[in-house]
Amino acid sequence: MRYLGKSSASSFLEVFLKVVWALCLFGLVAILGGALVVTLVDQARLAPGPGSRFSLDLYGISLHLEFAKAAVVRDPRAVVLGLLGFAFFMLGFVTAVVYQLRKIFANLKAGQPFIPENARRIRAIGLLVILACLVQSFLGFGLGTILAKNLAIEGVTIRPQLNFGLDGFLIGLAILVLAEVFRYGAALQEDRDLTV
Amino acid sequence: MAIKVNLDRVMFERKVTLTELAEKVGLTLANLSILKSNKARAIRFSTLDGLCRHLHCQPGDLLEYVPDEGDGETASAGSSAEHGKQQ
Repeated sequence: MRYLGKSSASSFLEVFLKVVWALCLFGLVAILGGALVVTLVDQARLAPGPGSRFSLDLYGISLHLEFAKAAVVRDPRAVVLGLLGFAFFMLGFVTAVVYQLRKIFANLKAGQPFIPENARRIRAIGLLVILACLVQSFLGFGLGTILAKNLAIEGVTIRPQLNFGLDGFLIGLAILVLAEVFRYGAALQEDRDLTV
Repeated sequence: MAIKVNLDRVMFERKVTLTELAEKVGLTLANLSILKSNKARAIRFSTLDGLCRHLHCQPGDLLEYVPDEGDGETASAGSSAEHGKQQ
């Protein structure tokens, strides 16, 4: 199996990432469209009625919530807009990372792994991961505050908490180290290319 | 770069074209152009050997030390290199 060049794993991944990137862009537009609809639609229609279902993912734990009776939502618009805003920013980060990966794999497809451009893009991914980790914490806290203020479920108390995950920061740091390795590799490659 | 490659001068004196020399030495035209235009960062002994063999010259005929302007230390080193070349 070939990993670099045309008709290789890199080539397949580049096409795959192109599709993912297009889907991400579509998702971002859909979220913006959704936000526009939410601001225009009547508040009462946004509140979850009896039988409403929600899926919630918490670090690998998937919860499927089904409302037996109508939940009391003080400001449904704020809740939905908060959720959409959170989704927009996080998908924005994913889109940016996928864009950088797409460009890197295009270079790998062209048979150029060690070039300064790849090092720069890997560094950008590392910084994006760290930034996304920080933004996620603050936006998550903001969203939690919106939910706590507006959502009332019988017997459940919602308390927002500012939580800085170390895992995202460590992954970002590891990617930054990898970017430095690539930068060094690009410098060696340049030396090799200019050795006659 | 303080090291100057005088390949074009030697080639002119020997009346050899870049294509002919590349073929004889076994280098690509692109690599020889890099060397001729002083863009090379390093030169292999095997390349130098091939060039000297086919151009009937010494490495010193191909390479020259030209001190950078305003660099006193390298200038003095340059003059000693020049002296060595004359010898």
